[in-house]
Amino acid sequence: MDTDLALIARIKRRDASALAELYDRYGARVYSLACAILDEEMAAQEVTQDTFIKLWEHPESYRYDDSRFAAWLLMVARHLAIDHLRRERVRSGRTLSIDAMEFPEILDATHDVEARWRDLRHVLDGLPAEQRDVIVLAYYHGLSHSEIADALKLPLGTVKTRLRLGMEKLRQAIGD
Amino acid sequence: MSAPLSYDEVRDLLPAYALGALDEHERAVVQSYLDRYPELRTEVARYGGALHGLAVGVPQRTPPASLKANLIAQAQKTAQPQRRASWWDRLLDVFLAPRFALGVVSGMLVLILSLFAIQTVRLSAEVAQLQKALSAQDRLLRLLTSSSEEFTLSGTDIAPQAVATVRYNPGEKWAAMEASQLPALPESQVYQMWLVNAAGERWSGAVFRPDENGNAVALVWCPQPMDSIVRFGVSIEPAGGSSTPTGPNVLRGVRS
Repeated sequence: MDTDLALIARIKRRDASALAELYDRYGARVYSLACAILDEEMAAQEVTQDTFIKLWEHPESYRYDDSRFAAWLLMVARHLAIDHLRRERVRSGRTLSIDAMEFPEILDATHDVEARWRDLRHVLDGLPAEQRDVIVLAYYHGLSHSEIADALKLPLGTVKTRLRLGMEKLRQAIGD
Repeated sequence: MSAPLSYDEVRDLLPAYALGALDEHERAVVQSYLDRYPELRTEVARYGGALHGLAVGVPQRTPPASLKANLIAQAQKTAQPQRRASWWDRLLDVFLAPRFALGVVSGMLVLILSLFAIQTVRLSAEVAQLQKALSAQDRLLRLLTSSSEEFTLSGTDIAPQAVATVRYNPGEKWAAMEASQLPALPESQVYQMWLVNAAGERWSGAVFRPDENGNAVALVWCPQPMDSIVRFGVSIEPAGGSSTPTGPNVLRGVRS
């Protein structure tokens, strides 16, 4: 089985079957993340397709080793999903309101994904609600900390502190 | 205008930076610090694991089978060599389009025919000019070698060494003039020959320039036969010649 890097090399040679193989490996994760951010299947499909097409059109933009490809691809997917979300907000004229936001369901402990991320779910669930909320708003809803402050009607400094403390706990939980 | 951020304040913003949660101004400030402090870059990188955890720590969903089919179909549409089309490639695409090619061929045919017609007219004019020049040369040569009459012009005070001979046949309106030891002239001036008959009528017979040795040969024409001319003169005139003499006389001859 080809490594991710080998598949990217084949993509550079315009081998569409290599793209299909990478999709088989990571398509579900990309789609799941897009669904979590967008909460809308059609939009999530569009973002998933755009993510892989970006890789197809610019394979040279991945400049790391084999182990980081999944994280990189998911980062691309998240950016595209957040962009989509922001465009929709502008188009619909929706104001930032915490009541209108759907919080994604964080990984179910019974779901069979990497144990490490299951641990993270427990850590995320175990965070104080105020820290968990700001991280979820920032990561899954693409809000800046000043937008989070507006949405939660909190002082900006408070949001910054909660984000920092929450992320620090997640980082320690991952073992980095 | 925000107050500048200290190193410690920037360090506190790194988790939010990693999450992409900074406002534009703060993000720019943090990026400037990251450029200068490698240890801050390392610290940002350490949030990578947490971010990846957030990315995969969501309920897993199975995308519809059509998504993969659509993706591959879209990729195959662009499965040409990755090289971005250069301006030359794009130009070729336009040039190779059938309608454009037909237009270009038709246009080129019209252009070639037009150029051919223009060239033909130009060549005809050139041939006529050459024939005229050849005819003049032929006439000049004939006059120089077979004229029965000749008339000598002498240099004036301006060019006392100069001398010229006008050769012609009686009854003819053409003559050949040979001159020597003429002073050189600037580009803005020429020599012009004048002919005057017994009634005092004056005509311009030739405009010429001497060679680097001061020699000149010119074909002279007059509306009346040369043997009716009683005075010949050569003056210095502006380039192109004059309708009447305006400059000093260089050569002069009077038939007795």
